[in-house]
Amino acid sequence: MSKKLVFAVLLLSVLVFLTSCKIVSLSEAERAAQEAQFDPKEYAEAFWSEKLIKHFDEAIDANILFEVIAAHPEEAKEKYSRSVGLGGIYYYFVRGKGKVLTIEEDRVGITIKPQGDKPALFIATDYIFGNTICNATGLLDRNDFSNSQDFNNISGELNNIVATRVLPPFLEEVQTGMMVEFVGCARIASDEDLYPMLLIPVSLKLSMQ
Amino acid sequence: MKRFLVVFLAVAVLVSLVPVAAGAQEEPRGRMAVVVSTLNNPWFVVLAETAAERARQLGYEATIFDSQNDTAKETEHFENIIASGYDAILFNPTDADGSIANVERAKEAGIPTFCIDREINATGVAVSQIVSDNYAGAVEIGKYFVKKLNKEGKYVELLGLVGANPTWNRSNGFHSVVDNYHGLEMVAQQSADFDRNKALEVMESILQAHPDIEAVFCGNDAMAMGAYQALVAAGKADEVLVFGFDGAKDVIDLIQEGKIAATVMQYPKLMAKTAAEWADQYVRGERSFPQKVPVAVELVTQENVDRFTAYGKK
Repeated sequence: MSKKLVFAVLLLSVLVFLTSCKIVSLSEAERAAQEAQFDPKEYAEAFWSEKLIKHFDEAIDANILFEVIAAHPEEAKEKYSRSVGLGGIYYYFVRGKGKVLTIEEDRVGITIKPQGDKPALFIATDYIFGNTICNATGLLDRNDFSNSQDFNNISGELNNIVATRVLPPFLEEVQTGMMVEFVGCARIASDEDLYPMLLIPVSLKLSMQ
Repeated sequence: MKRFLVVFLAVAVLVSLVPVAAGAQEEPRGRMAVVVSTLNNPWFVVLAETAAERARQLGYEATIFDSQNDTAKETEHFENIIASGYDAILFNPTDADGSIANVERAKEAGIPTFCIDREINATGVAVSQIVSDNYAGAVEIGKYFVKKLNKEGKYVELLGLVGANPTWNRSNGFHSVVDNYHGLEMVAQQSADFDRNKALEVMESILQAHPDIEAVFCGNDAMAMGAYQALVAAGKADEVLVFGFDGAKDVIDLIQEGKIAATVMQYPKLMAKTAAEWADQYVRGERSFPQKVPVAVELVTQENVDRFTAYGKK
C-alpha cells in the first residue's frame, strides 16, 4: 500500500474520531456522572425514613408557637422560624395535638385549645407543592446540590410521599370531633398566613380523644 | 516689592500643598465587571444597570458587558476582564453548564464572581449565587393557573433558553402542580429563547395547529408579550389567558388592564444590589458568603396588581 494511501486512511480515521467524539474537561465529565447517578425519588425516600421522621421532636410545639405569635410575632419569627435566602418569606416546623373542627375540600381545620370553636390552623389535604418541607425543617441544604433542580425535584418527591402515604389513611378515617397529633410545615409569606396557619403535614395520627 | 514677592511665593507654595477640596475626585476603590446574558431584554437592562450603579456608589468603576446570549461572546468578555485585572465580576450566566469554565478561570486568576439571577451548575466556584426562587414562583403561578382554568382546558407552554436553569426550574415548578390535573392538556411546548419576537413567531405557528387553546404559560414576560401580540393578531386575546414570569413593566401594565392573567414578580434590583455589596465586602476582605441564595418571588394577579410596579413593589 502506498505511503500516501496509508497517510490518507490515517488522516480520515482521525477526522472521523474527532467528529464523532465530544471532548469534555474532566470536571465536566465528573459532574455529568454525578448527575446521571442522582435519583430524586430514591434520595427523598432515604431522607424521609432516615432523617426527617427522626427529627419530629425538633418541631416547635404549636401551643408555645401560637402563644408567642399572639404576644410577640417578631419574637416568634426570630426564635422559631427559618428563613431561606432573601425576600422575607419564612417557615415554621410545627407539631401538636388538636381537635378536628372542620373538613373542607382541600383542608382540615384544627383547634389546639380545649374549648376552641375556631380553627387555629389547617392541615392541607390538597395542593401539596413547593419546597416548604425542605425549607421549614432545615434538614436539607440546597447548597449541597450544584443544580438547584435536583433540590426542587427532591421536594417534589417529598410532596408526593405526603400526598400518597400521609394523607390517604388520614382522609379515610377523619371525622369532626376526633383528635389528631400532627407534625407539619408552614410557609409564611405575609401576616395573613399566620391566622390561621396552613400546614403541609408530614405526620398525622388520629384518635378518638 | 521684595516683601511682596516673598509673601506671594509663600502663598503659592501653601496653595500647592493644600489639596483642592471642592471637586476633588477620590481614586476608585477598584473595578467591577457586570457581565449580563443579554441587553436585548429590558429586565436584564434593569439588572445590569442596577448592579453597575450600586458598584459605582460603593466607589468602583463599573463596566457592563453584553454576552448577547452567546457563551463564546461571554468567554471573550471573561478573557478581557481577567487580562484587565478587574476586582470582581457580577455575572448573569448564559448557560448553567457552559458558563462554569469562565467562572473557574476567573477564580484561578483571583477574581471573585457573584452570580445574579441565574446560577451555574457548580458549587465552590462562584463566591455566591443570588438567584430568584424560580421553582417556588412557578408553583404559585401553577396553582393560580389551575384555578383560573377551573382544572381543565388546552394550553401551550413557551420555554426559555434550554441551557439556562431558570427555564427548567420554572417549567418543573409549573408542571409539579399542573400535571396533577388531568383535565389540563398541554398541546404544545416549545422554546422561544426568552425572546419576544421569537415568542410571537412560535405562538403564531402554534395557533395555526391549535386554534382552540385556552391558555399559554410563558417562562418569562418578554415571551408573554410576544404570545399576547400573536393572540391579538389572531383575534383571540380575549379568549386565551396569558401567564408570564418576571414582573416587567409592559406585563404589569397589561395585568392592570385585565389583558394578561398573571406573572411572577422577581426582584432584579435586590439581587443586583446585593451582589455589588457582597463583592465590595469580598474586596475588603470578607470571605464567608452563602453559596446559593434564593430570592423570594411573588405572584402578581389582576386581584393584587395594585401592590406592584415594574420590577418591584410599590
